[in-house]
Amino acid sequence: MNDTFVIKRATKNTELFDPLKLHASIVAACRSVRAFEGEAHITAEHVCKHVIDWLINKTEVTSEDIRRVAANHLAVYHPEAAYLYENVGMMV
Amino acid sequence: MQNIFGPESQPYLLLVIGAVFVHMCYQVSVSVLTLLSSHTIGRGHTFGRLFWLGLFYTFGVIIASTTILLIITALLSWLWEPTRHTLSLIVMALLPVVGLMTMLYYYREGKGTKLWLPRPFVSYLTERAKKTRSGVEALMLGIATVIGEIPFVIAPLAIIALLIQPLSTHAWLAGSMLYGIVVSLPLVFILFYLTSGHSLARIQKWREDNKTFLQLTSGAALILLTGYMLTLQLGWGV
Repeated sequence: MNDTFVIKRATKNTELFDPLKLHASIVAACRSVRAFEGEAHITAEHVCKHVIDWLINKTEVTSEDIRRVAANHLAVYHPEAAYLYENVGMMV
Repeated sequence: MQNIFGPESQPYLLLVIGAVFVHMCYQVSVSVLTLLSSHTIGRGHTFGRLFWLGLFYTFGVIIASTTILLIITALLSWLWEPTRHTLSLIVMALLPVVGLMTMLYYYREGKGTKLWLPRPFVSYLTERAKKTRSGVEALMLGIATVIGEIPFVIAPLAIIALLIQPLSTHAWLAGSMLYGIVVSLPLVFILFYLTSGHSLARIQKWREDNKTFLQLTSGAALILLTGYMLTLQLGWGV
């Protein structure tokens, strides 16, 4: 996998894609809907794998793209968590 | 209307209920509480921690609502005698304008429950909700959300202030505190709902599904309340 850069939606800054950060945000979404700890980590691993597969051959994506792709895959494993993951920026 | 429980106060009860309903429909405090809960649960904190932060947050909302209502009541009382007609006119003009603004602009178009708030202020609230670790921070966050919502909550607060300003200062304090507690009941309900193990997604889904209903009914209620207040103003001899 090439290094993929992520353009942040809010700041327009660019940073290197960090799978651990994605993993942590998926785990947080799963916890928010009361998923068990192990279930949350396994789901996050699966979703991260899908996102990394999608990122192969991409050099630059937006954080919004990653959120959308991750939410689509998360919806397969945990629809409620996917809903919250997608909507956390649209609550206020 | 010194005796607030007397039969002569009964027509005003509808106004109080209406103002409380409209205030409860405004969602900034609820939005920020869901955000705060999302980050707190997401970090893996216990239900006790969530309850503690939510409780302080709710106290912040109650304190801010009570204080703002007291300030408006004091201002009205101070300016009442020389400018009674002007003040009545200002309040009567304010209510339908806020009602219309609520119906048109309270929620932004699109998915989710994005509110009218300026985006830099939303970024500030989101950042604060994310970084809130202690009770004091949660309390300040609660106060900040109420201050941010003043352009809309000013309408129900003005109704209550008009009603309680002829009463004694003790009654102002009691009435304001009672109002602050009652309008914060949705927060208490959400807090108990979440700490009893329910999913945050359900609350957010409910809010999204019902946002148009809440927006239109609160806006329409404010316009109806203006008509009702105009009728009652005649009774006051203003």
